[in-house]
Amino acid sequence: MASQPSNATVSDGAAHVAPTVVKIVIAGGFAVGKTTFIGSISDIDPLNTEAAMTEHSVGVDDAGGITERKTHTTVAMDFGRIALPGSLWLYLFGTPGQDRFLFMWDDLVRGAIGAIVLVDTERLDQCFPAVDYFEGRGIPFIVAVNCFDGVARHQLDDVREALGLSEEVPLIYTDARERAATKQALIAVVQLAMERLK
Amino acid sequence: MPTDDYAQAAVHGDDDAYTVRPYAVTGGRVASESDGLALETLVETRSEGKSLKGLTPEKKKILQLAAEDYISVAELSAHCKLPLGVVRVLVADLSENEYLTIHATSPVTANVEDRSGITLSLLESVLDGIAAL
Repeated sequence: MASQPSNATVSDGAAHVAPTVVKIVIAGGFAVGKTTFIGSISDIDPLNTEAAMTEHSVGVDDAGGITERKTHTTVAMDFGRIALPGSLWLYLFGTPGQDRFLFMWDDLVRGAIGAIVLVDTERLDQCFPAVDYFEGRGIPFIVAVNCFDGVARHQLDDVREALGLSEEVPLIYTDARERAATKQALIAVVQLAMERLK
Repeated sequence: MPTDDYAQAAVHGDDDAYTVRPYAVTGGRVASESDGLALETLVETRSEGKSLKGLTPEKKKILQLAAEDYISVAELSAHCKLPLGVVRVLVADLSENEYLTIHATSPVTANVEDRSGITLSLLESVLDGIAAL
């Protein structure tokens, strides 16, 4: 399947090479801002592969105000796409928001450059499954603290301690709504993947 | 994993997202070679002008979408509002019957831990590209 059709000539072959595809996985808990993150930098409006889900948010209500911040979530995952120079297409795949969809993660993560775990400091525990998953499989990942209100309420050192993250895991602030901030997060994870190869 | 997609839809009552049962769409087939299709695998409709007569509406829709530009399996799933597992089977089928071409250009491997396809030069290109956004 990798070979070109035999009737393709050399001249039109050059214009007819499929883009090289890479992907980065955006993980984190329910309603942490994954879709917002993807939408802030994607060329296309974020797509999702399943229907919108509007129920089941009652169970996480005890932290307060969560369901007001997000009116719906999705049963599968959202994704976006960015065309980069040199015929490179970068896909951003958001993980399904709840633990019960962990079975889909292998599919998402296979072949990925790395992952960004988005964290809401009000609900740190929600990112544990993601951190455990990427640590266990040796996937390069960074942790990005999403500052919902533009205010960092917690020192990064405190977050690192609370999550039990080793010093090797980059930990940054981000703002899922801001293209400049999400861009820096993407750069951080690619740089980490490069360091792993050196 | 079409079984999982379908089970998931059934469990969460999303049946109204599909007008027909997913396995009616695939003609009862389950994944085989389609297992190798990653979410981001790109496909393209072949330009030979083969007759679409006899193809299901879902297959015609896929061919129409993939005729405009390269498109990923995940995008096909989103645009057709069909579970990924179903789209994988349909794409594999269309490829087998030479309606479309599957482009294996992503560094995808069988194991999650195998990262051999991700080279330093590829990452450098990605990094430069993101930095220039």
